[in-house]
Amino acid sequence: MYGLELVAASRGRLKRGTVYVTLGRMEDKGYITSRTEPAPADEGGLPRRLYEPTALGRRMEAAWAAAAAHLAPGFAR
Amino acid sequence: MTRPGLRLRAFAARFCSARTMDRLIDPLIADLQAEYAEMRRRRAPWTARGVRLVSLLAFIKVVALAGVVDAWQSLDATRARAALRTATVFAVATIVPTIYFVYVQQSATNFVNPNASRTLLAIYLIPSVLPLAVAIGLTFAIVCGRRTARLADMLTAVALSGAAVSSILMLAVTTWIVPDSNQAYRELVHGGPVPRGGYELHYGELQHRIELRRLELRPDEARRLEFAYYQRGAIAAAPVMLGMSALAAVRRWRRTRGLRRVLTATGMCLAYYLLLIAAEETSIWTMWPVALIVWSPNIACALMAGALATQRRLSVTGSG
Repeated sequence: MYGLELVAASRGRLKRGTVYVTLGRMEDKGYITSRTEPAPADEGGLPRRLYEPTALGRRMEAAWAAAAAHLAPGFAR
Repeated sequence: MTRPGLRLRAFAARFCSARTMDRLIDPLIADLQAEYAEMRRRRAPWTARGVRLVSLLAFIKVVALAGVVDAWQSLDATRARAALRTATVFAVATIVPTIYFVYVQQSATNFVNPNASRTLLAIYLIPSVLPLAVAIGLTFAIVCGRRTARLADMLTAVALSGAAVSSILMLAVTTWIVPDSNQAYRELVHGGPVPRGGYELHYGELQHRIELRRLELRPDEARRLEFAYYQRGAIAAAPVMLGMSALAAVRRWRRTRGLRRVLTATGMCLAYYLLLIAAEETSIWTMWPVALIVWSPNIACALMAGALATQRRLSVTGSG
């Protein structure tokens, strides 16, 4: 997904100004990879950067989701 | 049609590392261009403009965040030590005159109230001595703060900007803080309320009093009040004026080392201080325009800076 697509999909939880910094840090930690995609020939412009999770990133996401599900009832009390 | 974001990209390229450009700036600009093109295709020009504005705000955030990270990562030990040395020289050269001026002022005060807290008195005096102390600190930091006397254009710009910002801050201090701190000092010394004098009135009140004294045909008192009026702006300009002279001196006398640099800075500050005292005496004993007299130390600094800069330019073109 592109950075802006992530912002739109997060419904406001991600901000335009910080999403690229966050994605850069996640890439440094190996949770995601990115590659540039040339802009369409008729449009031109800078190549856009596509982000996708790595296997490590998917495992981290699953671990966080499991921890959140386990702890959530405790926070609700 | 120029694609949006290209000027922003060119601006960021001046400061950001290649990695920051590749990972942060280019993706942001690319997304902005794609979104803008999409809005134009949908014939929604106002939404397209909104996209540009929102992306500009995002760009500012990204550059601010990335700039801090880049600056921290590029800070090597040598530059860090040089910056620390300059900051230390500035701090010491500001604090020592502050303590000295406060001590001298307190020593010269006739204490009517024996219970006046000396610490509180010192605190009340600090705002009035700060502009000159900061100017002295800046002069020493510029002349003595670096091991080598070579001053690249970028550092010169940074030093001048710092001096200008200091002067603006000192103008705020002399305008809004000094009158009230001076008055608090006097009331503590006397142990009760006292009428405000020229150095304790705010600008508007001072102007009014000057006009009143002129109408009452008391020109000597009017001149004394005028001196207090103009001195606030002149003393606030001391950091930038002395800073300019210091920069010109460093660029002209590149081969000056060690103790000679300390003596140069000391000489410049001492000359400025003596000119300040001379200005006050001149305003009492002559009828020359008060504004000109008060600003004469700053004018002398500007002339010195100009003369040194001209001398350097002539020596460079002569040898080239």
